[in-house]
Amino acid sequence: MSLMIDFKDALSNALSGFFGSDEQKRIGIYGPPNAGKTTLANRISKDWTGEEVGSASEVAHETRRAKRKENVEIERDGNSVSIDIVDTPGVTSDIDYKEFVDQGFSDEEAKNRAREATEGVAEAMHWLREDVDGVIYVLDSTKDPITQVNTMLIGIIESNDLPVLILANKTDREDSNVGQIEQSFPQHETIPTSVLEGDNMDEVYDKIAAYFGE
Amino acid sequence: MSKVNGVKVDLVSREKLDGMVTMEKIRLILDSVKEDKVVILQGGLSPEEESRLVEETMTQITPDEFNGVKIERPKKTPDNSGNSSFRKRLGSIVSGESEEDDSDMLVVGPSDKLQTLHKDDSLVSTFISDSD
Repeated sequence: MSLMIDFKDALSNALSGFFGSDEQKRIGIYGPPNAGKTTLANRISKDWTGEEVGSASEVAHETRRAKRKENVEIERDGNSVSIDIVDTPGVTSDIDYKEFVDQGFSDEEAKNRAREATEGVAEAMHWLREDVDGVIYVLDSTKDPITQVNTMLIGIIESNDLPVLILANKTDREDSNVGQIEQSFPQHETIPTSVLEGDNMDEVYDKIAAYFGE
Repeated sequence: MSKVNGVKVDLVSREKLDGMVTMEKIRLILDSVKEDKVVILQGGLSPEEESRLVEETMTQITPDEFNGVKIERPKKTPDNSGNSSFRKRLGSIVSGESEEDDSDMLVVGPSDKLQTLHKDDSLVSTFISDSD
């Protein structure tokens, strides 16, 4: 009996190798520090699994490790899409521990946070090159989107031919300017949203299903 | 002879960069920046190379010694068709046409010394402080 089960497993594995695996798609949430990535990951996860992924904060580099929430099943129009959400640390090319000191941390805590943040950024870059199947790119719509980090990350996403959805976040702020994001990356669809307020999340979920469903 | 204060700027030609592998380029950049030099690369780096530069930079950040790099390039926006420069380059590779974008350049410097004042399609204006 166990031989029969082993044979079935082996056959199933071989067939999935030929016809493509049904592995869960990993969708990375990327963007600069403090754009609202963890708030988005938490909202998606809470809406569809009832649990959060991590803690969001106004302090930059609060997320210093990539965090994965598996089997997030999103239902749209009678169909369901199952994905893994990967919340990644904000990408930057420099980190000064004194910024953490300015936010009230002791020298030692600040240095530890800075070290963890550097490891987190390196980890995020690695995930993007090797381990994600699609990207939700979160931008703060109150800031100029044409930065070296954004240009570089969008370039990597395009060169790896990954599907990407751009969120123009923080539309609840008075100085929000969604147009400048749309004009900067017209080759990709931009969805205006305030993740914090939950504005326009239905459209976000529609697009996640459309972009990453199959 | 009086001592001249200032910041050293290295201009690296496309020809030199073309003869180097990714890690050699990254080593050249980081070694220079750690000596407080600003490096200008003709032709820039590919997105993949930039991501490896960021990753390698992160491993070398040391409190009170090296805070990382500031990277700048002219503010290129996609054309009206929505094509990014990368896509145009990819298109030229696929079609077999030789289209080198000589306007590409990258400025890399110490993050605590290089400050961007202005950038547009053809210009990056920076202020380099010589605090030492």
